[in-house]
Formats: sequence, structure tokens, C-alpha cells
Amino acid sequence: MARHTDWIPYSAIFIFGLVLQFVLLLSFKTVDFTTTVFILFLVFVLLIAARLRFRIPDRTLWIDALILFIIAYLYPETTWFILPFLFLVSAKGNFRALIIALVVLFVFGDGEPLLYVLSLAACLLGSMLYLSHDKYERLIQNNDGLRKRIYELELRQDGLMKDMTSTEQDAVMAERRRVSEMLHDDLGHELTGAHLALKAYAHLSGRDDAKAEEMLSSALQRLDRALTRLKETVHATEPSEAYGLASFIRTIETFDDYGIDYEYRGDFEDVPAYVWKNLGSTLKEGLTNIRKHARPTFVRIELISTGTIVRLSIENDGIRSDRAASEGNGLKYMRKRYEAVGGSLSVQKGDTFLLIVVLPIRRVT
Amino acid sequence: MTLFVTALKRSFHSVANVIIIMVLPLAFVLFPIYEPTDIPQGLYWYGLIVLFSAFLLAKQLIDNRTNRTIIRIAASPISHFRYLAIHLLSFTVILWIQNTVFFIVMKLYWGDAIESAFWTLSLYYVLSVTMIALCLFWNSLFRTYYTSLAFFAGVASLLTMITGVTVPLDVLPDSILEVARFLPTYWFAYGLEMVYNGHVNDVLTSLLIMLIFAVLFLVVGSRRRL
Repeated sequence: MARHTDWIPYSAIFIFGLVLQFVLLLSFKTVDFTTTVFILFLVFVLLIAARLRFRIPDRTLWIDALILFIIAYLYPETTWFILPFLFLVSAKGNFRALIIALVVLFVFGDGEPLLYVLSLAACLLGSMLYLSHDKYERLIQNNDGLRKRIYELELRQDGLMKDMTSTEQDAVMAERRRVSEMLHDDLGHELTGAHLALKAYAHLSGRDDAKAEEMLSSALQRLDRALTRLKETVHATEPSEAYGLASFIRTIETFDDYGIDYEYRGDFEDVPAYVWKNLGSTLKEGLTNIRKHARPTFVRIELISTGTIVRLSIENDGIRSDRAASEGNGLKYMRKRYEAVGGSLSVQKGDTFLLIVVLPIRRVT
Repeated sequence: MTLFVTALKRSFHSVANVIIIMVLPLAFVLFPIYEPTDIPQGLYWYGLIVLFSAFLLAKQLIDNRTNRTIIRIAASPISHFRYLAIHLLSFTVILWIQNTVFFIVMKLYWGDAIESAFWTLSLYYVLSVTMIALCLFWNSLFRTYYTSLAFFAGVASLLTMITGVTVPLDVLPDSILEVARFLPTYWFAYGLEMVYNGHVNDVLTSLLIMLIFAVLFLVVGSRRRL
């Protein structure tokens, strides 16, 4: 796509065209510049200059056209002033003023062929400028609309990322409450019942064996139910989607085309799910990029947890000189996601391509 | 008022300004009378001094732009219109004082050879305003003062030469006069000639045309450039 700087500014062409019309007007010596006509000429130039300088709305151009009409009526030799004006109204695309100007031309033009030819040229030049500029303006508007849309989406994404971390914390708390309720309501009651039955069995044993046997049987039934509840609770609290170090390593192994050398150090127990999720997607993005764009002889992955931060680095030596040096969209969006959760993503390019991600660990308290 | 006083003071910071604005005009008083018209040549040549004085005064504005003062001014609670108006007013006051002093000295030196104080001073006053506006417009075309000066020195000399300021109008060929009519200083020289010919209407026409030129230059040159 052409860059904006490649575009010759509309205003420069416009000023050039306008000056050209004035030069034509003065160089043909067709106007007898008596003092009055000269003053009118100066006023006319002043009108146009003021219009351009103060950005007077183009819809008022018909007033200028009307002034030209009156001047031309009083001093027919001023009809030649129509040349720059025709260019102006054509370039601005103001058809009402253009019609008035053409009326001036045909009523007061006195059948002067040169004036008609130059007027036609001025109209054509102005119209071409108007049409090209109109198209350019539309492209700019579309472009601006798309930029605005991207900006809004990025803002929304930032918001969602921030929400995700807080939702994660809320979800952990809710899950703890649910597990604790399950333990208390189901497992706790059964174990308490079994405990009481065993106590009764110990008390009755040797005095009333029949009753004691009944208590023992009841305790065993309750323990059975408690075990079943425990299995159900464990099953219910087990996450359906796998994440964590094991899943991370599995992802590495699925991409292992180049004999990936990986290493991990530290305690990963406290690393929250959203961090694993981000690390996982970065790992996939990084390895996919290597597969797509690089021809490495080695790929080295290092994952370190210090207890307060997690640092992931992916390094490869497969930089291809024919690849554009600019950052791709994948990395750009990933960086946004990390920044939204207080982390960072950086890229070092030297003999190797090194991607480093650092994420803080926020413990749920 | 502070800005006005500052603009006045800054106008006389450099020695060159003091010499050209305050001293040099007095040398023009000594220019002899031009025989065919019986008008002291100093009256015309003084237009050159006004032009260069206006240029030196307008230097402040381009300096403000070059050394980025204009950005600080833009951030201060003062509109661009007010900033420009106060500066132009201070330049006008300086030139009007210069006009008056020059005319008084001319009158004292040449006595009865100097006629019609009212119309001559009117021409000087309006010329001063027009030249300030012209210099404002000229400076708006250039990025630095020295580029502006380099072009201005040549253009101003030519301008005053072909418009009857430094070369009498009656020796200029018609072809040059046809072009000269489109330049503001021509109307000053023409107006001065009409003062001595007693054609008040033509003097008024000259004043009107110079004023239109002044407004035109102000309109185009007052564009804010940072």
C-alpha cells in the first residue's frame, strides 16, 4: 500500500493550479487594468486568500460567485477573473458556484474564444484535482475507521485480559468454597456418623454384642459412603482441561522437529492457571513461528520460576536474512497480553533469535 | 502591555537595528532635489528605509519561530492573534515615530520644498503598515531568518528600483511600470508624485491600494507556523 508521504499534497497542487490561473490571467494582457479594475482585482485576490486562510466553508462559494457576477456586470473586462475562480470551484466540487461562474462566463464572456478555452482548461484541471482528492479522502477515512476499530479492539482486549486475572482469582476462591462445602456437607457428616458408631461399638462391645455388631455394620456402611463421596469430590474438582508443567512439556514434545533442548527450574506449584495459559500460547506461537519462518540448527527453551516471577526464553539460530525485520502481529498481540497482566515480552536479535517472557506470579490469598 | 513593551525593547537590542531605524534615515534627508519634479529624493528613498526597518523589526517573529519561543508562547494563555497583533502594533508604533521624525527633519532641512505634510505623512504611515505586513508574509515563506534575509536583500533592492522608490518613476520604461503596478511600493512612489501634483483623489487611491495590499499580506502571512 502506498505510504502517505508518496502522495503529492493536495494543497500544493491546488495552490500551484490557482497561481497558474492567475499567471494566465495576467500574462495574456487581455484585461485593461485601469485603477478601478486593479482595485477590484486586488479585492478579488483578497477574497480568495481569505477563503483559503480562514477555511471559510465551501458551501458559501456561491456568494463569491455572485460578487463576481455583479463586478462583471459593472465592469465587463473583469470577466477574466473567472479563470482562477472556475479552477477554485471545480477543485472544491461546488457545483452551485460553478453554475453561477459559468453564467458569468457565457453572459459577459463576449464570445472570446481564448477565454472559453482557458476556462475549460481551468474547469478540467480543477475537476481532476477534486475527483482524485475525493477518492484519496475516502481512502483516508476508511483507513482512519479501521485504525479506530483496531484501537477499540485492543482496548477491549486489554480490559478482557485484566478481567481474566481477577476472574481467575474469583474462580479459585469459589472452587475452594465449593470443595470445603462438599467436604463438610457430604464427607464430614458421614465420617462423623461413622466415628460415633465406632465409639458406640467400643462402648457396647462385651455388654450387648448384638447391638455392638449393628453399630459396627453402620460404621462400615458410613465409611463406604464416605469413600464414595471422597472419590466423587476428587473427580468433581479435577480440572477437565490439563494445564501446568506436564502440559507445557507435552506441547514442547509435539513440536519437537529439531531436537528441542529444554530445561526447567524452580517451584511451579504456585503458578496460577492464567500464567500457564499465557505461557502455553506463547510457547505454541514461538514454536510455530520457528517452524514457519526459521531454519534452526538448535532450539533452546528455558522455563524458570523464582517464586515471584516466571521467565520463559525460547532461542533459535535459524534467522533468515530474507525475513522482514519488523515484529509480526502475533508477537505484537502477545506483548499486549503480557503488558495487560503486568508482564513483559522482549525480543533480542543477534546471531540467534531470543524471545524472553517474564510474568509475575500473584498468589491467591 | 508587557508583551508590547517587550516587543519594543527587543526591537532595539541589536546595534544594527538602532542604526538603521534611528540614524540612517537622517542621512537620506541630505539627498538632493530631483530637478524634473522638484521633489527632494530623500522622500522617495526613505521608502527603502521603511522597507528594511520593517524587515529588521519583523525579525523578532521569525526568531521566535527559529528558537522555538513560539511553542512556549503557544502554550501560554495568549492567543496567536493577540501575540501577532501586539507585535505588529509595536512595530507600527516604532515606524510611525520614525516616519514623523524623518518628516520633521526633512521639513526643517528643506523648508518650503516639502509640501502637504498631511498626505505625505499619511503615505508614510500606510506604507509602514504595508511593509510590516509584507515582511510578515515574506518571513512566513522561510524557515530561518538568514535564508529570508538572503532572498529579501536582492528582492527588496529590485522591488524598490522598479517601483519608483530608488529610481524616479518618469525614467522607468512603460513595460516595467506595467509590472510595477502589481507591487505595493509602486503606489507609494505614485502617491508621493500625486501629492506634489495636487491630485488628492489619486493619493487616496494609492492609500487604498496600499491598505488592500497590507490586508492581503496580513491574511496570508498571519498563518501560524510552529
